[in-house]
Amino acid sequence: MKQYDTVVVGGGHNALVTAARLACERWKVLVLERSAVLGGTASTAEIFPGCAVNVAAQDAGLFPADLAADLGLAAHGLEWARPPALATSLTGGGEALTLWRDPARTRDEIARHNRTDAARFADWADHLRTMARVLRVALDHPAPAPHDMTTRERLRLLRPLIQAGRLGKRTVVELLRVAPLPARDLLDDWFESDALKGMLASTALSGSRHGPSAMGSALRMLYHATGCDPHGFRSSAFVKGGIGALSAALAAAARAHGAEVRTEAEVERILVEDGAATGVALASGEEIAARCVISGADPRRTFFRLVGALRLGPEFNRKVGNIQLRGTTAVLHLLLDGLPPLADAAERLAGHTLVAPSLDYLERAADDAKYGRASARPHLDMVIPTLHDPTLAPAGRHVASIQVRYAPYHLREGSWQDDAHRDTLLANVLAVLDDCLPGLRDRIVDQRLLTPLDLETELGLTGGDEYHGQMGLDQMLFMRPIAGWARYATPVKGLLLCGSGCHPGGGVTGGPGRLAAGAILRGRKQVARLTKRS
Amino acid sequence: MARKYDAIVIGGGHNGLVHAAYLARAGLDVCVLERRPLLGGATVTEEIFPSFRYSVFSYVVSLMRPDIIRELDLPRHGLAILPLESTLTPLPNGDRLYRDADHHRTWREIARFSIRDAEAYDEYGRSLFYMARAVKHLLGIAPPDPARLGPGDIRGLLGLARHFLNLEPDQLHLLVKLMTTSAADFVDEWFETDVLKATLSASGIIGTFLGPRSPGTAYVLLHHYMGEIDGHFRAWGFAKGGTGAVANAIASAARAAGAEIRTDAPVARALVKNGRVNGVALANGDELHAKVVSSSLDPHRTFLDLVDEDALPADLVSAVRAYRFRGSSGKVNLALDAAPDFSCMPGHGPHLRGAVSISPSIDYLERAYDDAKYGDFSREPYIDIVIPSAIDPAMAPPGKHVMSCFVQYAPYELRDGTWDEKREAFGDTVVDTLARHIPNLRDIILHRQVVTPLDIERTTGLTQGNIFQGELTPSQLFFLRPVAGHAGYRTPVRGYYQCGSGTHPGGGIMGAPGKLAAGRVLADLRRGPGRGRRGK
Amino acid sequence: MLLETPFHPRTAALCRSRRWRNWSGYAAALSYEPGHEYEYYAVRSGAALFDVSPLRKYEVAGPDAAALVDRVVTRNVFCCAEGRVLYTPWCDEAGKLIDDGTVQRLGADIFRITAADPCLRWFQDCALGMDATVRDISLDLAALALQGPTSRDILAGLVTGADIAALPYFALTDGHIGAAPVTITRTGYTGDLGYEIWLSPEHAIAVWDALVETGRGFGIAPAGLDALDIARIEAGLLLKDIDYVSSWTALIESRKSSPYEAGLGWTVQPRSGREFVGSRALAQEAAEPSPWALAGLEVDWPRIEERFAAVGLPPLVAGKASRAAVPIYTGGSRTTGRQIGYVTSSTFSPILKKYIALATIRRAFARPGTRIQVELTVEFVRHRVPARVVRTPFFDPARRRG
Repeated sequence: MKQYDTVVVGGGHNALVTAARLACERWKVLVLERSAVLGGTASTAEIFPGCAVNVAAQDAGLFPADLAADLGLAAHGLEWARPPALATSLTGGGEALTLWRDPARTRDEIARHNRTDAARFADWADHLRTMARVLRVALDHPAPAPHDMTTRERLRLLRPLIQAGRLGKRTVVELLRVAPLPARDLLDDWFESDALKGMLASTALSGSRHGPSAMGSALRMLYHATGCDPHGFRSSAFVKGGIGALSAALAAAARAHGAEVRTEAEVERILVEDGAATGVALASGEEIAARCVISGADPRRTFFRLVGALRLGPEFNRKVGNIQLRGTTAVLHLLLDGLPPLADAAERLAGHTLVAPSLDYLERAADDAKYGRASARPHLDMVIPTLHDPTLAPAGRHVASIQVRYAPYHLREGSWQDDAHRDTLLANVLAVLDDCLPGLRDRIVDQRLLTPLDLETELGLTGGDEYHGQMGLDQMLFMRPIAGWARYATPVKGLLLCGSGCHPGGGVTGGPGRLAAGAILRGRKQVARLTKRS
Repeated sequence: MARKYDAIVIGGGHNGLVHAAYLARAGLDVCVLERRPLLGGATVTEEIFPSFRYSVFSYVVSLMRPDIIRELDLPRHGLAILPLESTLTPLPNGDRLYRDADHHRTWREIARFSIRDAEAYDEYGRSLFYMARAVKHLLGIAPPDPARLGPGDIRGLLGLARHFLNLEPDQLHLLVKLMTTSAADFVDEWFETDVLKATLSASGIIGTFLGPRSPGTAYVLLHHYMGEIDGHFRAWGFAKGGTGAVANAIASAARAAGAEIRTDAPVARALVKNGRVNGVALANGDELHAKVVSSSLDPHRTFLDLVDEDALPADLVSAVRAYRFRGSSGKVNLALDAAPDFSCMPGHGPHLRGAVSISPSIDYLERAYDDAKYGDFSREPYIDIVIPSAIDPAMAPPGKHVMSCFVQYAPYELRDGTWDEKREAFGDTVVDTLARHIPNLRDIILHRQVVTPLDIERTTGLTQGNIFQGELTPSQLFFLRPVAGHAGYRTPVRGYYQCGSGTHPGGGIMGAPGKLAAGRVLADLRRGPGRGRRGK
Repeated sequence: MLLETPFHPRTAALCRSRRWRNWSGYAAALSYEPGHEYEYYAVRSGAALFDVSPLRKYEVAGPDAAALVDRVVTRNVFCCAEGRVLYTPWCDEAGKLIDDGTVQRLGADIFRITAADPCLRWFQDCALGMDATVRDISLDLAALALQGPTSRDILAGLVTGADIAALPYFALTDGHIGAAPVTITRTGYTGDLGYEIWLSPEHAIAVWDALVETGRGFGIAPAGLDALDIARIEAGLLLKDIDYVSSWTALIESRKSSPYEAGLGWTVQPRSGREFVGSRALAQEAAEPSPWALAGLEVDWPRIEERFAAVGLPPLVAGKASRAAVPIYTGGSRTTGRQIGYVTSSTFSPILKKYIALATIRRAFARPGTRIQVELTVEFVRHRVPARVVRTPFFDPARRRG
């Protein structure tokens, strides 16, 4: 049996970040991915013949530039696409409102709807940028662990505080006020136009089952603005070759430092002896020993399926059971034989194309989810990657990938195994598209709907939750994934977590992977120091 | 003729009166000015219908700080708080959930739905005890300002850090969860029975414009749990004589300490000269002078109505404009010819002396919220009922009863029509909802008073009819209440203070804002608060 | 409102004292006669019949039943053969006591657990990932304890389908009393020869009547909780919430106890590869013992009498068990002695003619023979009287196991 320093369970982008970081420190690393392609939620697969389709995540705007630079991802083929259009909101009847990366263009566009809002937008963009920057400081550092920190660590905590304080003490306090607000309240304070507010509020929706009136949704707006410049909307950047190319670049970087990356190698169990992880067993029966195991899977899958509840205490298990894993998103992939008949379609549809005409529309969509049913009039977030990388599909073809909200994993009546539910959801989406993007339906050549249940079975996301745990104040910082266990360690010695379920959270951020690697290396150094001393 | 006082308190609600009493006890010459002919603000008892006494607005007492009761010697001034021990939740199918002080009986009652929940209920109670104990500390301190970071603020913040780090890890985690999660998610971690979860989380929506599944509501749940009577947390009480008796007792204590209290004396504005206050002008044109003026009115009135915007920094004005009131509740007070007969618990019984909660399921509460979210009152509202006459016979003639129904949601802003048009329709909805559980109700109603958020605003002056002088959400708590940078009871106008529920620690018949603000005033005047311990 | 146990029609008629106590929501007689001396002596010389139906009872069944029980309790359940019973506590993850009771192994895959307080949720949550179900059968099972030297003879003459005379200590058997199917365990809370009888509530009255009828010639007496309390202290048996506080209700950390601190160290039975709830914390505690321990005390009775006699009173502490916590001091003079623990239960032992106590005490003073002082209040004045640490049980007749 081959001995590794560490086995990383799962080949999602966070797991690959951790693997690459550890490999850089000369660790002997093995990454095991169950499917044939790397990336997990951030993967690109041939869903339609000859087409590379981003399976779930579309946008990598939250992926930090410094991390990409550190790992030399550009050398491993990472290339960004930042189309001029950030987002286009379809407000019905073929009308559209587009936000551009160019502020002047955005101002003019909004002015067609509302002059006051147009005048305020630049201030809003500044405000959002500043708030996001303060929040980013918290996300870039390990979560505080109030009770088990040494004095040195407590002092280290001052660093982000000082850093944030430098951005303005008032700003920090303002962030404390804004973060728990409903997105609706925040936006009502700024804008009048329903269309604009709906559009901006849509950035608050992913990662939770709540609508824009729920407290804490403003925080998710800020969270989604913590990557590259949000321009008043959200951090948005696409990857040439599909989002899977980011994962591929990460894997290449890891391999370049000697890590082994295996696909189609599903980990069935994490081996535990005397309360310590000793390796993994694959579905094939193969066992691999390692000095530590790092899991990129979501916490509940890691603890209940891979480790097993019996290895853990009942009190801990209760906490694992209480993690809010609430997939509410379905993904609909459409193969198109052309763009829908919208003026400047190729330009306007290159960013996010949204059906989020008003706050109430989004709220009503969320209401359905509250009672355990899919939205009758869902909110849609469509990306057409073929507009910034035509090589992703055969000539003349386009792929549109739509995130459909809300499609709750837990249905009050029946389950997603019922075709009736899938058909209804599909019909609802197409009906909404007919209203907002007339003519699109005629362009559809093929389609593939992934319900939250499909996301669970295909990507291993418990509850279909692509964020590995709802993003809300109650599951952030030292509360993520489980209060008291926010430092990547687990009750099983030698088992660590590095997935989106950990601080700072979900999305294609690389944050958990990076911080987990940091924590592991720091822990190892401490051990080394202690042993040297004795 | 201008009379000169040491301090003037605007508003004779319970916080204004507590504030005045503490100032008077410290030897200040204090005058309280109340707009209405009777004292109490939202804490009043009125005989709207002859011989029947309604606690028109607020109706139960649990948060009243024991230290205030002791220091102001309120029992001597007529305060008597009677226990309210049980909660009955009727269910649409004729069943019910009944919880009271008999631990084993409550256990068995919950066990009818789920034994697991009956067991978890004890643990839940203990957890909330820990939480109430942890936040009790906060109720007694003025919030520091983390943005100013003066020496006192740093001391305050370090003190807080020490306080919270001294908690057991599990307790700190639970507290953070409580401050951030939704009432429904919070109770979900313990229970599986819908009616139990709904009734427990219902206290998380009171006074807010949020549904039980919205984050932030768990804190409100705790806010209602941290009341303390005779050393026990979570003991609900009913003031003998209605909540007006609380105001009267405090007023009596204030008068005994030398305060002057004037009713029918609406204040038009605070007089500000060169950035400092020197008195108030009444609506009738009279001017009263004082170096200290404290407003117990809500932040909107305190900052936007009583003083000129020019006297205030622009960021404060815009922050107060963004401060959220959003009245979401109404009251229906009924005079009844006989005792209400609940179909789920027929006849007279101890349940009449407790609370009755119309909260059969979380979805029920959410649907009630949904109606309000889109600008209508709930077609099937959440109702919290007490029958004061069953606890205190003096509230109604013998054999007859008054019934107080707190109703949510009733949004201040209606999408269609006005509250003046919809008042009776709202009352009918409440009676219809109640009559489903109380078959004899329609036959025994002698009189009905419907109080909409608009009526609350008109009568008590509470902006948008919000009973807490602003929502109790994390964005508006502690050093953010009412707004960041102005949470320490002072205002940018020297000598002008805030002492109402719009300041820390917030609403409910608690009196803490009034007392803490008095401590601030007295400290600023460099004077000890007289007898009793020093204010913080 | 207190509930009535299935035996209530009989116990209520017999309870001439009208002295009832709330036991888990049920009315339980403190004593049937105004005084409990006769009922106590029935335990030691005849047979006392206790209604113990308010105990909580759980059934664990399924292929993983043994593994589940083994995960929950501190004792090694795989050593418990079918037809045997174990006394055991169970702990939380931090190794602090939650509750204690007996585990009856009814079959290879079926167990019955008794507990003082509700534990269903805990047992079920421990079962996560196991193929075993836990049911609350508290209402499905009435229970009687027949305790005393003649209990064997009474049952031997009454039970059909089981060999009572051959039933070993801490074993169980099925049988019939009249037409009623019963399970009989040779267990009890008195430290004497005794049995507990588990049956369906519908047969409660018939079984009670049969026992009383047959027992008449053997000195049977219905007995209440006062007599039981004295007997259990003599036997050195702990009472939850009195001698230790459950970690669930402790409110503060310092009130919690580990099995080692409660004198139940012998029930912690690790074996290689065994992980039970709290095992890691307990292994650590075994390596670094806690400064607290449980000890039996014999208080100097003549000195107690002296103290009372000094004010002209007889020793008023005789006769009844006390649950009042009383401070314990080191030996030496009144001024130099420092507090080293507290008595949790104490009683005058009618059979031993001694004043005995269970105490939580600093481990350094827990060795048998150590002399210490116990506080005694006589006529509103506090005194200290000497006492000595002794081994428990205080009273242990050979017939208990024989």
